[in-house]
Amino acid sequence: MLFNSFSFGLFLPIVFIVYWIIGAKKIKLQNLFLLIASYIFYGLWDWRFLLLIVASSLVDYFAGIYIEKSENKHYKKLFLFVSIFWNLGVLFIFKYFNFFIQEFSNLFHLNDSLSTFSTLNIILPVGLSFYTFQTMSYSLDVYKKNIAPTKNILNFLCFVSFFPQLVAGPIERARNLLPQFTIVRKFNLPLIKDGLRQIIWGLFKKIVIADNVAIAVNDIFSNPGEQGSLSLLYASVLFFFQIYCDFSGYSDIAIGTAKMFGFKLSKNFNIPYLSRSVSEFWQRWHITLTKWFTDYVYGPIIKNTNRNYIFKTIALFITMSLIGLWHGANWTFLFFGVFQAIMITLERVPVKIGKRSLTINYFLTKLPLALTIIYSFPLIMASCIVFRSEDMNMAYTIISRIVSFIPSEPFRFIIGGRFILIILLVVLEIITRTKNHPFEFLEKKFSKPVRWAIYYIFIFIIFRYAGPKEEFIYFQF
Amino acid sequence: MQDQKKNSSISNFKRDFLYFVKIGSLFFLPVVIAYIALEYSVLQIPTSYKVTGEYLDNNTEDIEVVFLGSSQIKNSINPKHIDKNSINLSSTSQHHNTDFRILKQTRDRLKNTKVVILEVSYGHFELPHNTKYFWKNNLFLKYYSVNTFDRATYFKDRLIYLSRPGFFSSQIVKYYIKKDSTSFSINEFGFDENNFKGKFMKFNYDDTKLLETNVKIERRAYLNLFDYNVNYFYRMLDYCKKEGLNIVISSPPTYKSYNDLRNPNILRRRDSILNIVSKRYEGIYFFNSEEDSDFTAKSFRNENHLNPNGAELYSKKMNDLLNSIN
Repeated sequence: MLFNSFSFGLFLPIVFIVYWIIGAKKIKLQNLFLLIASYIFYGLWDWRFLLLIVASSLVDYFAGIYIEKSENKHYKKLFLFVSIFWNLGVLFIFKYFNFFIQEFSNLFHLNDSLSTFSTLNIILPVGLSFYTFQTMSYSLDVYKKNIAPTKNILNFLCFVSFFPQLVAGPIERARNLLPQFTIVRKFNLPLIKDGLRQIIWGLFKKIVIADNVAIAVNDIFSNPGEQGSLSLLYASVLFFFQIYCDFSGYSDIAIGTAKMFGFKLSKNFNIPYLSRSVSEFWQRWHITLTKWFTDYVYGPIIKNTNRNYIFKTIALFITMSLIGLWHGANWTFLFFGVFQAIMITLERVPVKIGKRSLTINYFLTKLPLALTIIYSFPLIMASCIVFRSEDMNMAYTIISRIVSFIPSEPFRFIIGGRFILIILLVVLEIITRTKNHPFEFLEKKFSKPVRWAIYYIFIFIIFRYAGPKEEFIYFQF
Repeated sequence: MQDQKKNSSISNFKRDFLYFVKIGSLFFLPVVIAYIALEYSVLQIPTSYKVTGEYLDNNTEDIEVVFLGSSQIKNSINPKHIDKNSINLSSTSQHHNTDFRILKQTRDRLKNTKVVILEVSYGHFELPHNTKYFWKNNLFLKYYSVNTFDRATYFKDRLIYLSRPGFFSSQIVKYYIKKDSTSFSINEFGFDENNFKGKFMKFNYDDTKLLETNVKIERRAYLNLFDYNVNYFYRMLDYCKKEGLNIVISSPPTYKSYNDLRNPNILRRRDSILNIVSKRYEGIYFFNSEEDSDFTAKSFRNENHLNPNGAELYSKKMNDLLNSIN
């Protein structure tokens, strides 16, 4: 079930009403109901993959219990290994197996005998990378004694499959989300209203901006070899906003929906186009994924080193490469990660000035924001081109044509006046940058009739200017 | 004391919950009412789909000829000029997968159909089929009772305004506010007899000027689509043969500037498949008018779509062919 579908428009109010009629006092029943609702939500894509979620949940649930129970260090490690082996194994089979077989065959020229290694004809379960990482972090946290394992299987199943964030995050940590299933969720009217507002904002970003922008992006990137520099540059800028509005729109709807049920999810985006540097970009883009890799990959790698520049750089390259590959089995994603690592490394190079050792990052913080964006945005956009490309050849074609100044004749805006919507988005987000979303400040600033009028205008825009329906880009990850 | 607290918290919850449900209903009620009004307004507009759907319902026993295809067929065939009772079920951007579903799902109703016209224009084999998100799926379900969604449908799939709000909003403005009757002069067969608007009219049908303008044409080859589309087309032909239907493979006229820009490889591949079809299947008629010189600038709306005058000429030519088929 998609957030931008009519069926979700029916599903949400029904689940919401039943959930609150059950009442805050009956937590177990509420959780059971949430679990059923979440499984229905997911099962409507493909019910067979529900088995995979249940299996992943059970493996990590019992792994958590046995990690704690075991007094022997080796057994603790064994149960952690079982959890990691299962999670990475599932990811490998569903997401990377075909890629590795294909590349292995290409490397050793085994194409003719590829049938011997036969690739698997399987589809990627929606949200696999998201919930797998969520459950894996649970086992790791239990092992590191950051959290105690839950003994309540219902709560754990809910934690893994909570429908607002099941298929595209935010990737929650057990220490944040799991306790929320154990406490009484009060009917918090301001929180629920804020959730609804955030949903409207998320729908606006996804349906109006991302889906409309997709028309131009798909059109231009469908034949990059015949496009001029300006057209490709235009499509690249638009793609950044497409993917941003698509994914952050999803996150807004997820966070807003969770609020309606009394849950608070982590913030996943913080106006990434205002980043002064590539390093800062990763603190503003898909924040929960960055934190995951920082805590479970980057941190452990540098933990037992003297944390000098070289070790940190090696750890950074490993981490960013894995972040790239997390998005999918393609060289473009790997290159995307490596490119980010190179830029962050350069930004961190210590430069001796007098007695002080400073970095580019330091200088960037001293410059006016507008100037730093001139530095950071083209780099982010360039990596988005690689991200969007089907293969490295396509990425090379796009980038080389952009820098070759090939005339775009005729240059077409394609989405016409709808470009203004991007400007509206940027202006609203910048004005309200201290808030979680632009509608948050309405409550204090305007009277109810004005607020309602604003909501109606946005609902009208969502209906009237909806782009052709596109699936959420991050569903494929 | 604790009971009192508990009771007051329960009553707070009830009060807040009921307040929210009340306010929420009050907030969304105008949205629902506005939507119902929009949907109702759209349903009253005599669009080509609506009129064609009514024609389909009222003539199931009599229809002998079914036209399928894209906007090129839609703009080229005015069933008024066809002697045999015929229906034009083509529409803009409609590809073979939608054609096939329409054909199969109307087969039970159109038992007396003898001839099916399938379009294979210049780029047909190298254009992607319609996706599950094709906005016209709602229209086909609502007006033709044909499910092109590839899944079980529910009431939302019959909502017309929601299928393409931008398009239908402008239809509402045209029909109710601007009262632009020329945009809705649909005849009983669903053909718009006043649809002359377009580039050619703008340039006053002046060949010299028209030949200097840019032509919108797909020249890219999509070989990855070619095999799939061709095999799909064979399946359609097999089905028609199995059902005892005569087949006309048609490609409507296109203007010379369009013809000059066609990618010769795409054209060669298309023609080679049609050549195979002519050898593999018996009793298939080919009606390729792409370079028919009877169609001048005055026959077109734009480079690859006829205007109603061109449609009259093309329909009459098609009629001659259909009359020759028993």
